[in-house]
Amino acid sequence: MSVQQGKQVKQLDRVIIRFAGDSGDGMQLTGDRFTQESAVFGNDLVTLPNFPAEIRAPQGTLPGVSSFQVHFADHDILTAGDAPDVLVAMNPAALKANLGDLPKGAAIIVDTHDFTARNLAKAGYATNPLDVLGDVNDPLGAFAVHAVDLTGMTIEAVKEFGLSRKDAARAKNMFALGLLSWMYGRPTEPTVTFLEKRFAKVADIRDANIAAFKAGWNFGETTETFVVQYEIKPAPMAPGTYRNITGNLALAYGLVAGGVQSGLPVFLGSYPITPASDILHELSKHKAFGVTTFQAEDEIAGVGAAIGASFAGSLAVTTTSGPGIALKSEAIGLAVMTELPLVVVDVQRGGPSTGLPTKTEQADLLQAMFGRNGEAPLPIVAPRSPGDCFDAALEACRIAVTYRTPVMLLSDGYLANGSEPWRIPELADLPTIDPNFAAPGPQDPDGTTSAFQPYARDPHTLARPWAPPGVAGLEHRIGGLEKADITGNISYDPANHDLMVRTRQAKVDRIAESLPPLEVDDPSAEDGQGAKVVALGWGSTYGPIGAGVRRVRKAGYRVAQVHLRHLNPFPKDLGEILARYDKVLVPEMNLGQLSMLIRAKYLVDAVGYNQVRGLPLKAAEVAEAIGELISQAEGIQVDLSADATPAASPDASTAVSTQEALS
Amino acid sequence: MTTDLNFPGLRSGVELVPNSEQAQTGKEYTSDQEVRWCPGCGDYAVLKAVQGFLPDLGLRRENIVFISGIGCSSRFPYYLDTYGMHSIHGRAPSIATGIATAREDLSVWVVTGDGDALSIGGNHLIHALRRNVNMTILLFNNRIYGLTKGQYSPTSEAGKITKSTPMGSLDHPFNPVSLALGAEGSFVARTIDSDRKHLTAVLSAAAAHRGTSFVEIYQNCPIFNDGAFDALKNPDTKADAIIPLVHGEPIRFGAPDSNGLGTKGLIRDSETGGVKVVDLADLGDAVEDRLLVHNAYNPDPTMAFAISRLTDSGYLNQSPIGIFRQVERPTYDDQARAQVGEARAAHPGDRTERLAALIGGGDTWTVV
Ligand code: SF4
Repeated sequence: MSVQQGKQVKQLDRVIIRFAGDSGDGMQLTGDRFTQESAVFGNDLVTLPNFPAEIRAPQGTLPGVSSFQVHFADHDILTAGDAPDVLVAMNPAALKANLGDLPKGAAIIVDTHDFTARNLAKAGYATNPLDVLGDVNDPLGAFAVHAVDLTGMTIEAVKEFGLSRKDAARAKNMFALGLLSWMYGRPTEPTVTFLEKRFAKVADIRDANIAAFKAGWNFGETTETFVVQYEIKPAPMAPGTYRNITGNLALAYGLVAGGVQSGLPVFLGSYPITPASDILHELSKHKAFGVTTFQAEDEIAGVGAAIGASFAGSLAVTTTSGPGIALKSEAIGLAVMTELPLVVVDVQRGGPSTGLPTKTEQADLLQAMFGRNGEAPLPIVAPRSPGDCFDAALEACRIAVTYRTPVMLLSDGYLANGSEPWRIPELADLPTIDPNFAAPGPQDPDGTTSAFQPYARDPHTLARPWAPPGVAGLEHRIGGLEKADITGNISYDPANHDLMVRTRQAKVDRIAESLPPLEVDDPSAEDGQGAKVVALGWGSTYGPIGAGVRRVRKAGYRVAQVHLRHLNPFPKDLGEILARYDKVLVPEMNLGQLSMLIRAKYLVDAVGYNQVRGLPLKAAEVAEAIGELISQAEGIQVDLSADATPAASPDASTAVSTQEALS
Repeated sequence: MTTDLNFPGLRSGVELVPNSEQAQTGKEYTSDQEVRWCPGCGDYAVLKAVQGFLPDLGLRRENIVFISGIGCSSRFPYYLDTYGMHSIHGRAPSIATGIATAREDLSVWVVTGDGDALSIGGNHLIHALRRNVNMTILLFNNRIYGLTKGQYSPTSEAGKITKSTPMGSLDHPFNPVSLALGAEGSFVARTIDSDRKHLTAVLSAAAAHRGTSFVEIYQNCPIFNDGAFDALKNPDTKADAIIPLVHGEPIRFGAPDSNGLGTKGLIRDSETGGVKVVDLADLGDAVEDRLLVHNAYNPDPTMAFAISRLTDSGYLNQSPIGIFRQVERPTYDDQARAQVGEARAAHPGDRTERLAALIGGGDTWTVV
């Protein structure tokens, strides 16, 4: 489909669209399709799905609203955006629930069909806001509102397929997608192909969805309602082949890759839990790679079976979220004591207790670090973006196998469901992992073999031998009781216990030897002016912190950024790097857990920027927090609205261009 | 939606475990660790029986794995020179499930106790049984907590005075055999620590069974619950207390008649729908018709359950002993491996190339 003559085309550098509707309106699918189209088009993008924990929350109510935000741009971007430029609202509740997030001037495309007295009441509207558009007291006066009967037009468009009115109306999300696809010049073939596949077995539904999608496109192109079409050029990206990927999918692929790169069968023991279940679902599809998935009777059995499989020589994994980690703690301690490889995936969600199952948080760091009885250290790895979940998972496998230890992989709900373009790695570039199984020792001259020592250690890694059953001469017993050094026999000896506690800690500390130097993003270090403030983060806050840092730099100030993948042990150079700066800001989606570790370890006066709203940090707010510290450190007034580099890249630019274009 | 599951067929429990080329001795199965149970503990007898029985099994020692939880009996793996893990309280069946599913070439044994298996680990026990993972679970039932020094257990008789229940325990006890049958156990047996011959016979049958074999072993704890099984062991009372279950044999016991056969037997109880003990003399000519013949292979577990209910839940004056049920059913681990095998056969070729295709799938675009 081509751009029709007569419509105006405006260039934009980036747009944030939020699709919002009732849980049953298919907003996640709509957003996902728009994302795929944008990815194929070549924009850089970041997404933020947001949905209720209830599978079928009460229809038409505020708690039942589900939304999907996609930020796409002609340049490299880091976040799903603080505030949407465009809101697509499928019912009154979706309008009401999202209005507060819109900046003045944002565009709203609203489906008038569901603005009935009943639905308005459910959403808490006394009167229909669409009735007073343009009046003096128009509550939507600050926005550019396009009130369109999307549902009605959808029903009309799919009439020929003879569906019930209800089924016909269901295709309204595809009508909306078609309209937005037209508006932003998205390629349509991927969605048509997708619909053909998805509904291959139900011809009428398939045809109705495709028809609705095309009708939405044509509506934009032919009517007067929308006079401008927008163009967001592809973003320059490093050469390579890309795909759009969510964190959970990338993490599952990383685990499959861990099996391939180590030559080991993968065993996943897991119990379903939001937001980690998709990893179990995905891995269960990959039996052809020698992946066994075991859906256990509970969280404890999930990790128990994984520990058994590890003892038996598999690359063992257990996946869960925070509440599951709490249940698995004792078993993870067993893996620490028995020194068996194990990858423990915690897709963090809002807590404590059941908390906010579908929302994101980073509040399990200290649980990962200390949440076991006794001195039970284990390495912690955290991915920074959806695509990075692949590399982080592979890294967790490497550490687990090389050092014979459980490893905690801390993802979160934002990474799990969010997506970004991912450059597909060349397999030759992936690390190989050597299981290095124990072999029977050489025979003594008298024909006997010296006894196997299950707790002798590799001098470099301090790892003990991994000796799965089936090898004669290596028969041995391990368990949760304290082990004697070298022999692994039960030992209650005080000096031995002290030695073993220290040895287990030393082994985890030793992992730092295998880590690359930290990347310090500090352009000002080059010119000798040196930033006085560094922003230190971990996990999924990479995007918002990076975007905040860009804003600060764009306004002409200096700030450095360091982002941690390894939370335990910390990279060797971290202390020295932090010492270079006067102020250390640690933005986190918790009440200061990394801050606490940094303060304890390096005696650095880390300042936290902490939000626990179940949502990603906002770049603008992180920028404010950085500005505040710069002002203290440099004794200057900081004005972030200044633009010191007008020609520079613009993640920090506001959405003004978009807004004025749409109004 | 369901699908027909592939099952590689019925096999012996140890069919895929490599055999030893040489004859073995009990000594080879004895580790160098000093055995530390209390003097007179029933665990010694079971350890001896197992060490004596394993060589007869004829498997390669390195392909045998013993997993235990926590409790007195859970020290068991340390004393056997096989592979082993003394794990955490109650979780041994889950760890064994991982091992058995990951490796078809291992003979997997779980050693557990009444507290370990029925209290803290109850969930794992019932799910292992329903999945029918190929492993043998030895439940040492001493009807008391030994390691923590004498609190009542889930198999202690109600009203038991212990350190934690000075006025008597209030819990109604589990009957482990009834529980295992209710959890869809495919092999359910009971034996006694002091009867080495019976114990060994049951262990042999359990090892030969493919699936989860559940063996309750009455085990005396002379320190905290001495004499709990005396009625079954005392030569004066045991003929009346033990109801022997032998597949294909009439179930009769009690003082022998002139032919050396028991004078009591089991018949159906039309009032309760269960079974009851009668003096065979009272049946007169109907003995042949009404005396139950034990059928461990009965696909329907109802009769086995009814027999299990004859276990006296107070002081054990009466208990059926033997193999209650032994039926063939597909095993979880065989089927899990079959699914992996099927998927592999459908996707031949180099794993690395297939990985490249996997991660490079979906909607892709290339930037040059
Ligand atoms: S406390 Fe009882 S069960 Fe435990 S070792 Fe001593 S005698 Fe055996």
